[in-house]
Amino acid sequence: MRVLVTTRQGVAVELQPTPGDSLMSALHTMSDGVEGVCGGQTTCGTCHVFVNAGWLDRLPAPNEEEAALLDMLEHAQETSRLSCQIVLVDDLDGLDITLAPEE
Amino acid sequence: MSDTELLDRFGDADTVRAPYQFYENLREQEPVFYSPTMRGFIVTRFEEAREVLTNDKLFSSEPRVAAIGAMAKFAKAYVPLYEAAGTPPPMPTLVVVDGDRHTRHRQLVDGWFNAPAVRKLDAAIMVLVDELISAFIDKGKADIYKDFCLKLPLSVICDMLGLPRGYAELMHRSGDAQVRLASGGAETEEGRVACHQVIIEFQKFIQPYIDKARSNPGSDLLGYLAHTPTKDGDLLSDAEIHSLVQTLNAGGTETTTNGLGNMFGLMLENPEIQTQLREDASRIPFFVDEVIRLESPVAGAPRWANEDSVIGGVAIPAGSMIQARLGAANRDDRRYGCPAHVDLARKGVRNHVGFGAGIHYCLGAVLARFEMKVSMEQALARMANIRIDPAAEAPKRANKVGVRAWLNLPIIFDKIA
Repeated sequence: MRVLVTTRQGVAVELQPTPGDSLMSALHTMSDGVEGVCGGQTTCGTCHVFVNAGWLDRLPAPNEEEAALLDMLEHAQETSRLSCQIVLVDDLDGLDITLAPEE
Repeated sequence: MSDTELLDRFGDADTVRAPYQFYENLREQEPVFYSPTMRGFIVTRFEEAREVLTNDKLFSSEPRVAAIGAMAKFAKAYVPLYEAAGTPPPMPTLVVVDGDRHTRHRQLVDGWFNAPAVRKLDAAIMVLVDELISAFIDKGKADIYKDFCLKLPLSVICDMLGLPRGYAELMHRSGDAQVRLASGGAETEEGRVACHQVIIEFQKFIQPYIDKARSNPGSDLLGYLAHTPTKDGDLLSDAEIHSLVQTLNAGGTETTTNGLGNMFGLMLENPEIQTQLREDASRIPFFVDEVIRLESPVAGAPRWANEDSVIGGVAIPAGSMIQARLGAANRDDRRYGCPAHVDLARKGVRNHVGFGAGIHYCLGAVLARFEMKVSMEQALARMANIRIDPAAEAPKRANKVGVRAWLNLPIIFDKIA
Protein backbone atom coordinates (compact mmCIF):
# COMPACT_ATOMS: atom_id res chain seq x y z
CA MET A 1 0.00 0.00 0.00
CA ARG A 2 1.01 3.65 -0.45
CA VAL A 3 0.89 6.69 1.83
CA LEU A 4 1.61 10.13 0.40
CA VAL A 5 3.40 12.45 2.81
CA THR A 6 4.16 16.14 2.41
CA THR A 7 7.10 17.01 4.66
CA ARG A 8 7.42 20.20 6.70
CA GLN A 9 9.61 21.53 3.90
CA GLY A 10 6.84 20.91 1.36
CA VAL A 11 8.50 17.91 -0.28
CA ALA A 12 6.22 15.07 -1.45
CA VAL A 13 7.31 11.60 -0.33
CA GLU A 14 5.69 8.23 -1.00
CA LEU A 15 5.85 5.56 1.71
CA GLN A 16 5.01 1.89 1.22
CA PRO A 17 4.01 0.67 4.67
CA THR A 18 2.75 -2.76 5.62
CA PRO A 19 -1.05 -2.86 6.02
CA GLY A 20 -1.94 -3.04 9.71
CA ASP A 21 0.89 -0.75 10.80
CA SER A 22 0.07 2.53 12.48
CA LEU A 23 0.64 5.66 10.44
CA MET A 24 3.11 6.74 13.15
CA SER A 25 5.20 3.60 12.59
CA ALA A 26 5.21 4.31 8.87
CA LEU A 27 6.35 7.89 9.49
CA HIS A 28 9.14 6.60 11.75
CA THR A 29 10.80 5.19 8.63
CA MET A 30 11.45 8.78 7.46
CA SER A 31 14.46 10.70 8.78
CA ASP A 32 12.31 13.75 9.54
CA GLY A 33 8.91 12.12 10.14
CA VAL A 34 7.30 12.41 13.55
CA GLU A 35 8.76 11.89 17.00
CA GLY A 36 5.96 9.97 18.76
CA VAL A 37 7.76 10.05 22.11
CA CYS A 38 5.08 8.18 24.04
CA GLY A 39 4.98 5.37 21.50
CA GLY A 40 1.29 5.64 20.69
CA GLN A 41 -0.42 6.15 24.04
CA THR A 42 -2.13 9.44 23.17
CA THR A 43 -0.13 11.22 25.84
CA CYS A 44 2.61 13.31 24.20
CA GLY A 45 1.07 14.87 21.08
CA THR A 46 4.28 14.60 19.06
CA CYS A 47 2.97 12.57 16.09
CA HIS A 48 0.62 15.25 14.77
CA VAL A 49 -0.35 15.27 11.08
CA PHE A 50 -2.86 17.06 8.85
CA VAL A 51 -5.05 14.81 6.71
CA ASN A 52 -5.33 16.14 3.17
CA ALA A 53 -8.46 16.72 1.08
CA GLY A 54 -10.80 13.82 0.57
CA TRP A 55 -9.31 11.57 3.23
CA LEU A 56 -10.55 12.93 6.56
CA ASP A 57 -14.03 11.42 6.21
CA ARG A 58 -12.57 8.04 5.27
CA LEU A 59 -10.85 7.72 8.65
CA PRO A 60 -12.64 6.57 11.81
CA ALA A 61 -13.35 9.67 13.94
CA PRO A 62 -10.86 10.44 16.71
CA ASN A 63 -11.77 9.08 20.13
CA GLU A 64 -12.28 11.39 23.10
CA GLU A 65 -8.68 11.01 24.23
CA GLU A 66 -7.20 11.94 20.87
CA ALA A 67 -9.61 14.84 20.38
CA ALA A 68 -8.84 16.30 23.81
CA LEU A 69 -5.08 16.04 23.31
CA LEU A 70 -5.29 17.61 19.83
CA ASP A 71 -7.16 20.50 21.45
CA MET A 72 -4.10 21.17 23.59
CA LEU A 73 -1.73 21.54 20.62
CA GLU A 74 -0.83 24.96 19.26
CA HIS A 75 -0.99 23.99 15.59
CA ALA A 76 -4.15 21.88 15.72
CA GLN A 77 -6.73 22.49 13.00
CA GLU A 78 -9.86 20.75 11.70
CA THR A 79 -7.87 18.24 9.66
CA SER A 80 -5.53 17.32 12.55
CA ARG A 81 -4.98 13.75 13.67
CA LEU A 82 -2.47 11.92 15.83
CA SER A 83 -0.76 9.45 13.51
CA CYS A 84 -0.41 6.88 16.31
CA GLN A 85 -4.19 6.45 16.28
CA ILE A 86 -4.52 5.72 12.57
CA VAL A 87 -4.25 2.06 11.58
CA LEU A 88 -3.30 1.63 7.92
CA VAL A 89 -6.02 -0.73 6.76
CA ASP A 90 -6.21 -1.62 3.05
CA ASP A 91 -8.97 0.95 2.44
CA LEU A 92 -6.47 3.69 3.23
CA ASP A 93 -4.24 2.85 0.28
CA GLY A 94 -3.22 6.24 -1.14
CA LEU A 95 -3.80 8.15 2.14
CA ASP A 96 -2.54 11.72 1.69
CA ILE A 97 -1.19 13.63 4.72
CA THR A 98 1.03 16.58 5.61
CA LEU A 99 3.32 16.60 8.65
CA ALA A 100 2.19 19.27 11.15
CA PRO A 101 4.81 21.76 12.36
CA GLU A 102 6.75 20.32 15.27
CA GLU A 103 5.90 21.82 18.66
CA MET B 1 44.51 5.45 34.79
CA SER B 2 44.91 8.54 32.63
CA ASP B 3 44.77 12.13 33.82
CA THR B 4 41.54 12.65 31.96
CA GLU B 5 39.71 9.67 33.38
CA LEU B 6 36.33 10.74 34.65
CA LEU B 7 35.66 10.43 38.35
CA ASP B 8 32.32 9.07 39.49
CA ARG B 9 30.64 12.16 40.91
CA PHE B 10 27.12 10.76 41.38
CA GLY B 11 27.68 10.59 45.12
CA ASP B 12 29.14 14.07 45.37
CA ALA B 13 26.67 16.58 46.84
CA ASP B 14 28.07 19.63 45.04
CA THR B 15 27.89 17.83 41.68
CA VAL B 16 24.36 16.60 42.36
CA ARG B 17 23.30 20.19 43.09
CA ALA B 18 24.99 21.50 39.91
CA PRO B 19 25.38 18.49 37.61
CA TYR B 20 25.47 19.93 34.10
CA GLN B 21 29.21 20.35 33.60
CA PHE B 22 29.67 16.78 34.83
CA TYR B 23 26.98 15.60 32.41
CA GLU B 24 28.75 17.40 29.57
CA ASN B 25 32.05 15.74 30.47
CA LEU B 26 30.29 12.38 30.47
CA ARG B 27 28.60 13.01 27.11
CA GLU B 28 31.89 14.01 25.53
CA GLN B 29 34.29 11.56 27.14
CA GLU B 30 32.36 8.53 28.31
CA PRO B 31 28.73 8.65 27.15
CA VAL B 32 28.06 5.20 28.57
CA PHE B 33 29.70 5.47 31.97
CA TYR B 34 29.89 2.79 34.64
CA SER B 35 29.14 4.43 37.99
CA PRO B 36 30.12 2.40 41.05
CA THR B 37 27.94 4.74 43.13
CA MET B 38 24.85 4.05 41.04
CA ARG B 39 25.91 0.44 40.54
CA GLY B 40 25.21 0.60 36.84
CA PHE B 41 25.79 2.21 33.47
CA ILE B 42 24.75 5.83 32.98
CA VAL B 43 23.80 6.89 29.44
CA THR B 44 24.06 10.62 28.77
CA ARG B 45 23.61 11.14 25.01
CA PHE B 46 20.12 11.63 23.55
CA GLU B 47 20.05 8.90 20.91
CA GLU B 48 21.44 6.22 23.19
CA ALA B 49 19.18 7.28 26.05
CA ARG B 50 16.14 7.05 23.80
CA GLU B 51 17.25 3.60 22.65
CA VAL B 52 17.48 2.45 26.28
CA LEU B 53 14.04 3.88 27.06
CA THR B 54 12.21 2.53 24.03
CA ASN B 55 13.80 -0.87 23.46
CA ASP B 56 11.77 -2.60 26.13
CA LYS B 57 12.58 -6.06 24.80
CA LEU B 58 16.26 -5.56 25.49
CA PHE B 59 15.98 -3.25 28.49
CA SER B 60 13.44 -4.23 31.11
CA SER B 61 11.90 -1.83 33.61
CA GLU B 62 11.67 -4.60 36.18
CA PRO B 63 14.30 -4.23 38.90
CA ARG B 64 16.25 -7.32 39.86
CA VAL B 65 15.29 -8.51 43.34
CA ALA B 66 18.80 -7.99 44.60
CA ALA B 67 19.02 -4.46 43.21
CA ILE B 68 19.91 -1.76 45.66
CA GLY B 69 21.65 0.56 43.21
CA ALA B 70 18.35 1.46 41.60
CA MET B 71 14.80 0.76 42.73
CA ALA B 72 16.01 -0.43 46.11
CA LYS B 73 12.37 -0.20 47.11
CA PHE B 74 11.86 -3.71 45.74
CA ALA B 75 15.06 -5.37 46.92
CA LYS B 76 14.34 -8.66 48.72
CA ALA B 77 16.72 -7.72 51.52
CA TYR B 78 14.17 -5.28 52.93
CA VAL B 79 11.09 -7.53 52.88
CA PRO B 80 11.56 -8.52 56.56
CA LEU B 81 11.00 -4.87 57.55
CA TYR B 82 7.50 -5.09 56.08
CA GLU B 83 6.82 -8.53 57.53
CA ALA B 84 7.72 -7.20 60.95
CA ALA B 85 5.42 -4.20 60.48
CA GLY B 86 2.55 -6.31 59.11
CA THR B 87 2.26 -4.29 55.89
CA PRO B 88 2.62 -5.59 52.31
CA PRO B 89 6.16 -5.50 50.87
CA PRO B 90 6.39 -3.06 47.96
CA MET B 91 5.04 -4.60 44.81
CA PRO B 92 6.29 -3.43 41.44
CA THR B 93 3.63 -1.57 39.46
CA LEU B 94 3.52 0.83 36.49
CA VAL B 95 6.99 2.36 36.23
CA VAL B 96 8.78 -0.82 37.23
CA VAL B 97 6.96 -3.59 35.37
CA ASP B 98 6.73 -4.62 31.74
CA GLY B 99 4.21 -6.24 29.44
CA ASP B 100 0.94 -7.61 30.79
CA ARG B 101 1.66 -6.62 34.38
CA HIS B 102 2.21 -3.03 33.24
CA THR B 103 -0.99 -3.03 31.18
CA ARG B 104 -2.96 -4.47 34.14
CA HIS B 105 -2.37 -1.31 36.18
CA ARG B 106 -1.93 1.28 33.45
CA GLN B 107 -5.33 0.45 31.92
CA LEU B 108 -7.00 1.14 35.25
CA VAL B 109 -5.38 4.49 35.94
CA ASP B 110 -4.96 5.90 32.40
CA GLY B 111 -8.50 7.23 32.32
CA TRP B 112 -7.79 9.34 35.41
CA PHE B 113 -4.82 11.10 33.84
CA ASN B 114 -5.48 11.33 30.10
CA ALA B 115 -6.40 14.53 28.29
CA PRO B 116 -10.20 14.25 28.79
CA ALA B 117 -9.66 13.59 32.52
CA VAL B 118 -7.38 16.62 32.84
CA ARG B 119 -9.91 18.73 30.98
CA LYS B 120 -12.52 17.77 33.58
CA LEU B 121 -10.12 18.77 36.37
CA ASP B 122 -9.00 22.06 34.88
CA ALA B 123 -11.49 24.34 36.66
CA ALA B 124 -10.72 22.74 40.03
CA ILE B 125 -6.97 23.11 39.45
CA MET B 126 -7.38 26.76 38.52
CA VAL B 127 -9.25 27.34 41.80
CA LEU B 128 -6.48 25.60 43.76
CA VAL B 129 -3.79 27.71 42.09
CA ASP B 130 -5.77 30.85 42.85
CA GLU B 131 -6.24 29.89 46.52
CA LEU B 132 -2.55 29.12 47.01
CA ILE B 133 -1.48 32.46 45.50
CA SER B 134 -4.16 34.31 47.51
CA ALA B 135 -2.64 32.93 50.71
CA PHE B 136 0.52 35.01 50.21
CA ILE B 137 -0.37 37.71 47.68
CA ASP B 138 -0.84 40.49 50.26
CA LYS B 139 2.55 39.85 51.84
CA GLY B 140 4.47 40.79 48.70
CA LYS B 141 6.76 37.85 49.27
CA ALA B 142 6.65 34.06 49.53
CA ASP B 143 8.74 30.96 49.28
CA ILE B 144 7.24 29.91 45.95
CA TYR B 145 8.70 26.41 46.37
CA LYS B 146 7.32 25.72 49.86
CA ASP B 147 4.16 27.82 49.66
CA PHE B 148 3.13 26.78 46.18
CA CYS B 149 5.13 24.10 44.35
CA LEU B 150 5.01 21.66 47.26
CA LYS B 151 1.31 22.22 47.82
CA LEU B 152 -0.41 22.28 44.43
CA PRO B 153 0.37 18.78 43.10
CA LEU B 154 -0.22 17.25 46.51
CA SER B 155 -3.67 18.81 46.77
CA VAL B 156 -4.51 17.64 43.24
CA ILE B 157 -3.49 14.05 43.95
CA CYS B 158 -5.17 14.00 47.41
CA ASP B 159 -8.43 15.22 45.88
CA MET B 160 -8.18 12.66 43.11
CA LEU B 161 -7.49 9.76 45.49
CA GLY B 162 -10.02 10.92 48.07
CA LEU B 163 -7.40 11.48 50.77
CA PRO B 164 -7.47 14.41 53.19
CA ARG B 165 -5.06 17.20 52.31
CA GLY B 166 -3.81 17.60 55.88
CA TYR B 167 -1.04 14.97 55.84
CA ALA B 168 1.34 16.80 53.56
CA GLU B 169 4.39 16.24 55.72
CA LEU B 170 4.06 12.45 55.72
CA MET B 171 3.16 12.35 52.04
CA HIS B 172 6.22 14.43 51.19
CA ARG B 173 8.48 12.23 53.28
CA SER B 174 7.08 9.14 51.57
CA GLY B 175 7.60 10.63 48.11
CA ASP B 176 11.13 11.61 49.09
CA ALA B 177 11.84 8.09 50.39
CA GLN B 178 10.65 6.62 47.10
CA VAL B 179 12.88 8.77 44.91
CA ARG B 180 15.84 8.16 47.20
CA LEU B 181 15.34 4.40 46.95
CA ALA B 182 15.02 4.73 43.16
CA SER B 183 18.70 5.74 43.23
CA GLY B 184 19.41 3.59 46.26
CA GLY B 185 23.09 3.17 45.51
CA ALA B 186 23.66 6.81 46.40
CA GLU B 187 22.24 6.22 49.90
CA THR B 188 23.86 4.53 52.88
CA GLU B 189 22.41 1.22 54.08
CA GLU B 190 21.08 3.07 57.13
CA GLY B 191 19.50 5.62 54.78
CA ARG B 192 17.82 2.91 52.70
CA VAL B 193 16.35 1.28 55.80
CA ALA B 194 15.09 4.67 57.01
CA CYS B 195 13.38 5.19 53.63
CA HIS B 196 11.63 1.83 53.94
CA GLN B 197 10.46 2.78 57.44
CA VAL B 198 8.89 5.94 56.03
CA ILE B 199 7.09 3.88 53.37
CA ILE B 200 5.78 1.57 56.11
CA GLU B 201 4.54 4.61 58.05
CA PHE B 202 2.81 5.81 54.86
CA GLN B 203 1.22 2.37 54.30
CA LYS B 204 -0.20 2.41 57.84
CA PHE B 205 -1.67 5.84 57.15
CA ILE B 206 -3.20 4.71 53.83
CA GLN B 207 -4.59 1.31 54.93
CA PRO B 208 -7.76 2.67 56.61
CA TYR B 209 -8.58 4.59 53.45
CA ILE B 210 -8.20 1.42 51.38
CA ASP B 211 -10.44 -0.41 53.87
CA LYS B 212 -13.04 2.33 53.56
CA ALA B 213 -12.76 2.29 49.77
CA ARG B 214 -13.49 -1.46 49.85
CA SER B 215 -16.52 -1.21 52.16
CA ASN B 216 -17.94 2.17 51.25
CA PRO B 217 -16.36 3.50 48.07
CA GLY B 218 -16.66 7.12 47.04
CA SER B 219 -16.38 8.41 43.49
CA ASP B 220 -12.64 8.96 43.92
CA LEU B 221 -9.72 7.04 42.44
CA LEU B 222 -9.20 4.94 45.57
CA GLY B 223 -12.81 3.73 45.38
CA TYR B 224 -12.35 3.03 41.68
CA LEU B 225 -9.17 1.02 42.28
CA ALA B 226 -10.82 -0.99 45.05
CA HIS B 227 -13.84 -1.99 42.97
CA THR B 228 -12.95 -2.01 39.28
CA PRO B 229 -12.04 -5.41 37.82
CA THR B 230 -8.64 -5.50 36.13
CA LYS B 231 -8.23 -6.71 32.55
CA ASP B 232 -7.57 -10.14 34.12
CA GLY B 233 -11.04 -10.12 35.69
CA ASP B 234 -9.93 -9.93 39.33
CA LEU B 235 -9.73 -7.03 41.77
CA LEU B 236 -6.47 -5.38 42.78
CA SER B 237 -4.93 -6.64 46.00
CA ASP B 238 -4.21 -4.25 48.86
CA ALA B 239 -0.51 -4.60 48.04
CA GLU B 240 -1.16 -3.45 44.49
CA ILE B 241 -3.28 -0.51 45.63
CA HIS B 242 -0.58 0.50 48.12
CA SER B 243 2.03 0.47 45.40
CA LEU B 244 -0.14 2.45 42.99
CA VAL B 245 -0.92 5.03 45.67
CA GLN B 246 2.78 5.32 46.51
CA THR B 247 3.64 5.83 42.84
CA LEU B 248 0.93 8.45 42.41
CA ASN B 249 2.02 10.12 45.65
CA ALA B 250 5.59 10.37 44.38
CA GLY B 251 4.15 11.92 41.22
CA GLY B 252 2.18 14.34 43.35
CA THR B 253 4.92 15.27 45.74
CA GLU B 254 8.19 14.95 43.86
CA THR B 255 8.02 15.05 40.09
CA THR B 256 5.33 17.68 39.49
CA THR B 257 6.50 19.70 42.48
CA ASN B 258 9.98 19.81 41.00
CA GLY B 259 8.63 20.59 37.55
CA LEU B 260 6.91 23.62 39.09
CA GLY B 261 9.94 24.56 41.18
CA ASN B 262 12.31 24.24 38.24
CA MET B 263 9.95 26.37 36.15
CA PHE B 264 9.91 29.25 38.63
CA GLY B 265 13.62 28.77 39.32
CA LEU B 266 14.55 28.99 35.65
CA MET B 267 12.45 32.14 35.26
CA LEU B 268 14.04 33.75 38.31
CA GLU B 269 17.52 32.93 37.03
CA ASN B 270 16.67 34.40 33.60
CA PRO B 271 14.63 37.59 34.14
CA GLU B 272 14.22 38.15 30.39
CA ILE B 273 12.00 35.05 30.29
CA GLN B 274 9.53 36.73 32.60
CA THR B 275 9.39 39.72 30.24
CA GLN B 276 8.91 37.47 27.20
CA LEU B 277 6.13 35.47 28.83
CA ARG B 278 4.33 38.63 29.93
CA GLU B 279 4.53 39.98 26.39
CA ASP B 280 3.24 36.75 24.84
CA ALA B 281 1.47 34.32 27.15
CA SER B 282 1.02 31.87 24.26
CA ARG B 283 4.71 30.98 24.82
CA ILE B 284 4.01 29.58 28.30
CA PRO B 285 3.42 25.97 27.09
CA PHE B 286 6.72 26.19 25.19
CA PHE B 287 8.47 27.39 28.34
CA VAL B 288 6.93 24.50 30.28
CA ASP B 289 8.52 22.00 27.89
CA GLU B 290 11.82 23.85 27.84
CA VAL B 291 11.83 23.53 31.65
CA ILE B 292 11.18 19.79 31.47
CA ARG B 293 13.99 19.50 28.93
CA LEU B 294 16.56 21.79 30.59
CA GLU B 295 15.87 20.98 34.23
CA SER B 296 14.33 17.52 33.91
CA PRO B 297 12.58 16.87 37.23
CA VAL B 298 13.21 13.13 36.96
CA ALA B 299 16.96 13.04 36.42
CA GLY B 300 17.27 9.45 35.25
CA ALA B 301 15.25 6.35 34.36
CA PRO B 302 16.74 2.90 35.14
CA ARG B 303 16.39 -0.25 33.07
CA TRP B 304 17.90 -3.72 33.38
CA ALA B 305 19.56 -5.50 30.45
CA ASN B 306 17.65 -8.70 29.59
CA GLU B 307 20.64 -10.03 27.68
CA ASP B 308 24.19 -9.09 26.77
CA SER B 309 23.93 -5.97 24.66
CA VAL B 310 25.89 -3.04 23.30
CA ILE B 311 24.96 0.61 23.72
CA GLY B 312 27.12 3.37 22.27
CA GLY B 313 29.84 0.82 21.61
CA VAL B 314 29.96 -0.28 25.26
CA ALA B 315 29.21 -3.88 26.20
CA ILE B 316 26.39 -4.11 28.75
CA PRO B 317 26.32 -7.53 30.44
CA ALA B 318 22.93 -9.19 30.95
CA GLY B 319 21.40 -8.22 34.29
CA SER B 320 23.20 -4.87 34.49
CA MET B 321 21.39 -1.74 35.51
CA ILE B 322 21.52 0.88 32.78
CA GLN B 323 20.12 4.33 33.40
CA ALA B 324 19.02 6.81 30.75
CA ARG B 325 20.15 10.08 32.33
CA LEU B 326 17.26 12.24 31.18
CA GLY B 327 18.73 15.49 32.51
CA ALA B 328 21.90 14.91 30.47
CA ALA B 329 20.33 13.52 27.28
CA ASN B 330 18.04 16.53 27.04
CA ARG B 331 21.07 18.83 26.83
CA ASP B 332 22.90 16.88 24.15
CA ASP B 333 24.14 19.28 21.45
CA ARG B 334 23.98 16.46 18.92
CA ARG B 335 20.24 16.78 19.31
CA TYR B 336 19.63 20.43 20.26
CA GLY B 337 21.10 23.71 19.10
CA CYS B 338 22.22 25.87 22.06
CA PRO B 339 21.04 23.11 24.41
CA ALA B 340 21.71 25.03 27.64
CA HIS B 341 19.49 27.96 26.61
CA VAL B 342 15.76 28.46 26.89
CA ASP B 343 14.33 28.90 23.41
CA LEU B 344 10.64 29.75 23.43
CA ALA B 345 10.43 29.15 19.66
CA ARG B 346 12.33 25.86 19.64
CA LYS B 347 11.06 23.43 16.97
CA GLY B 348 9.98 20.12 18.43
CA VAL B 349 9.97 21.52 21.95
CA ARG B 350 7.83 18.59 23.18
CA ASN B 351 10.17 15.96 21.73
CA HIS B 352 12.50 15.72 24.74
CA VAL B 353 12.80 12.63 26.97
CA GLY B 354 12.06 14.52 30.22
CA PHE B 355 8.88 12.45 30.60
CA GLY B 356 10.66 9.30 29.45
CA ALA B 357 9.82 7.66 26.11
CA GLY B 358 7.89 4.68 24.82
CA ILE B 359 5.56 2.50 26.85
CA HIS B 360 6.68 4.01 30.19
CA TYR B 361 6.19 7.61 29.06
CA CYS B 362 4.94 9.53 32.09
CA LEU B 363 1.32 8.70 32.87
CA GLY B 364 0.82 12.17 34.35
CA ALA B 365 2.46 14.19 31.57
CA VAL B 366 -0.77 15.87 30.43
CA LEU B 367 -1.67 16.73 34.03
CA ALA B 368 1.83 17.99 34.85
CA ARG B 369 1.98 20.18 31.75
CA PHE B 370 -1.42 21.61 32.64
CA GLU B 371 -0.54 22.31 36.28
CA MET B 372 2.66 24.05 35.19
CA LYS B 373 0.95 26.13 32.49
CA VAL B 374 -1.90 27.33 34.73
CA SER B 375 0.50 28.08 37.58
CA MET B 376 2.67 30.29 35.39
CA GLU B 377 -0.32 32.01 33.81
CA GLN B 378 -1.84 32.90 37.16
CA ALA B 379 1.49 33.80 38.78
CA LEU B 380 2.16 36.31 36.00
CA ALA B 381 -1.41 37.62 36.11
CA ARG B 382 -1.34 38.29 39.85
CA MET B 383 2.28 39.23 40.53
CA ALA B 384 4.48 41.76 38.73
CA ASN B 385 8.26 41.95 38.83
CA ILE B 386 8.75 38.54 40.45
CA ARG B 387 12.34 38.25 41.67
CA ILE B 388 14.49 36.43 44.16
CA ASP B 389 14.18 37.89 47.67
CA PRO B 390 17.66 39.27 48.43
CA ALA B 391 16.85 39.46 52.14
CA ALA B 392 16.00 35.75 52.46
CA GLU B 393 18.21 32.69 52.52
CA ALA B 394 19.53 32.14 48.98
CA PRO B 395 17.78 29.44 46.91
CA LYS B 396 19.42 26.09 47.38
CA ARG B 397 19.26 22.85 45.41
CA ALA B 398 18.50 19.50 47.09
CA ASN B 399 21.15 16.80 47.27
CA LYS B 400 19.03 14.21 45.44
CA VAL B 401 20.56 12.27 42.60
CA GLY B 402 17.21 10.93 41.35
CA VAL B 403 15.32 14.19 40.97
CA ARG B 404 16.26 17.77 40.18
CA ALA B 405 14.79 19.65 43.12
CA TRP B 406 14.91 22.94 44.97
CA LEU B 407 14.78 23.22 48.74
CA ASN B 408 13.53 26.81 48.78
CA LEU B 409 12.76 29.62 46.33
CA PRO B 410 12.13 32.86 48.25
CA ILE B 411 10.60 35.58 46.04
CA ILE B 412 9.39 39.15 46.33
CA PHE B 413 6.95 40.75 43.90
CA ASP B 414 4.53 43.61 43.33
CA LYS B 415 0.92 42.60 43.83
CA ILE B 416 -1.31 43.05 40.80
CA ALA B 417 -4.49 41.38 42.01
